[in-house]
This record gives sequence, structure tokens and C-alpha cells, in this order.
Amino acid sequence: MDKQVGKFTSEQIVTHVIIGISIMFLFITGLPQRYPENLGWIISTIGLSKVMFIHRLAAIGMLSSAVFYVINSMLCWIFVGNKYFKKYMLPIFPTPGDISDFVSDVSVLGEQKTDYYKYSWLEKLSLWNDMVVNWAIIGITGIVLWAPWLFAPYIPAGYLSIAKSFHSGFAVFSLCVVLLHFYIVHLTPSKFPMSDSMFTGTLSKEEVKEEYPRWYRELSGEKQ
Amino acid sequence: MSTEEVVIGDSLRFLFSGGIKLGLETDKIAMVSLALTIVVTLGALLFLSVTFDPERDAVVDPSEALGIFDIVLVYLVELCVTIGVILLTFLMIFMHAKSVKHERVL
Repeated sequence: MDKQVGKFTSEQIVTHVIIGISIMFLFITGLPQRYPENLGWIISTIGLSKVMFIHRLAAIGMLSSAVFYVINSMLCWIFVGNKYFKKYMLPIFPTPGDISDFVSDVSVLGEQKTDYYKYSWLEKLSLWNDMVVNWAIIGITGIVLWAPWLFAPYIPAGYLSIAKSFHSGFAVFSLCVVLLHFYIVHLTPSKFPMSDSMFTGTLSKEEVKEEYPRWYRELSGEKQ
Repeated sequence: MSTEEVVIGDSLRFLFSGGIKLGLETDKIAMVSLALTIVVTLGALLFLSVTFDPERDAVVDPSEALGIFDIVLVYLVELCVTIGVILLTFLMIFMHAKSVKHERVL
């Protein structure tokens, strides 16, 4: 077993970086619009038109990362085959084991560290939050709000209010997931000030053994 | 695991180095995916620009009359989000407690 264990592909690293930068600007420019009484000073400092421009620019980054991830995953699956799917796509799908990992993590009295595989339930939550909430719900409602003239013939004008509620409401939910992800990955005492695996795509052998015991056992060939 | 070539320094084509290098085939696929992404994104932006209709570029009017179903839907969304935020906050506290506990154990 190598000293460094590969966890993320280059494509995943690039997508993550673009999403990270985009989502930061989306929150900075989006939250003041939902809470103008508390964060309105951001809009008055930068200017509404510039805030909207930055918000839409960041949205392009977020949605193009979604397009890239989907196209790349599909093409890899088609041209590389099931080996790619089993190795890089299958592990991100939720399994019944994630529920027991979740229960183990939230039970404060538990003495044992959770026996994670390659991705913990929290990493899966972050990923699926990004795909379902950020890309699908917020992305689609964002497009409706961005270009209402495209949808005006098909939906009543009042539905823009509903789209706005979905858009801003789920954005707040997404912020909480991102904050949780940020805390666990970067701010826990063993990781502080940051985990560099999001840039290198690798973890040390010791880190894998400590944090992903089940994955380590599989890689090293140890008996379960 | 041993078949994976873990490269730090020469793998990433776009911004910086890192990640698992999957091989020439996936490198080509990544470049094709990037090209398709640029085409799709630019195409979508061009489509928005061409179809822009200032008369229909309506702003969200909160006074717009909504049906009872729509109002209930909006409240349901807000309720789900509120519950989600509360649960995630508790989750963060639990995870923090667990993390601190294991740091002490170690």
C-alpha cells in the first residue's frame, strides 16, 4: 500500500474548487437579498446591479460545474466502463450502512469511532445536497428568476414568488450543510486550519487508517 | 489500490496539480467534457441574450395574488427549511461533541 492513498480524481478536485468559489459568492450576494434588514449593507456598499451581476456570474460557475460533472461522469461510464462506475460513482450512493454510521456519530455517548468506508455519510450528504438542492432545485428556480420571459407563457406571474421562496429557502438550507461540511472537514482539531486533500486528492495512509477504517481494511487486505 | 497511479504534481490540466491520474483515456474524456461544458454554457447564455424580452422581464411582485395551494406550498417550503436548519444545527453540535471527545481519547 502506498504512503499516499488517492481519494479524489482531478476532475472531482476541479469541480469542487469551482463549486466552492461559486457558492461562496452566491451566499455573499444572495443572503442580503433574503435578509435585507440585516445584511442590506452589503447591497448598499456594492450596489444592487453589481450584486446581481456577481450573483449571476457565480451561478454560471455553479451550473457549468454541474454540466461538466454530469457530462464527464457519463462519458467515463460509457467509454471506460463499469470499472469506473464501481470505483468512482458507486461509492457516492447512499447505503443502509450510512444510517448506522449516522446513528453512531450522533450518539454522543458512543466510545468507538465510526467505521467509515471511502465516503462518510456527511460527505455523501454534502455531495447530494450539491446535486439535488444546489444544482436541481436552486439551479432551476434560479433560471426561472433570471429569465422570467422564457417561462411567462407557461406559468402564471405569481409563480415567480413561489420560485423565489424555493430559491432563497433552499439556499439557507444549503448554507447550513456547507457550514457543517466546512466545520467537519477543516475546523475539527485534527484538521485545523484546513485539510489539504481537497487540493492534492490524496490522504496519508495514517489518515485513512484513522478516519476510514473500513476502507483501509479493504485497501490493505486486512480481514474484516 | 496498487494499480492506481497517485500523482502529486503533474496530474491536473487546468488549475493546479493533484488528484488521481486515471490514464490517457480519461484525460481525453475530461478535455472533451470541458469543451462540451463551454459550448453548453455559452450556448445557454447566448440563448438568454437572444430571447431577452424587456417587457416580460417581470420582477417578483409580492402583492401578486396566489391561490391557497400556492400559499400553503410556500409555507411548507419555509417550514421544511426551518426544520432542516434546526436539525443541521443540532447535528453540528453532536459532531463537535464527538470530535472533541475523540481528540481527548487519542
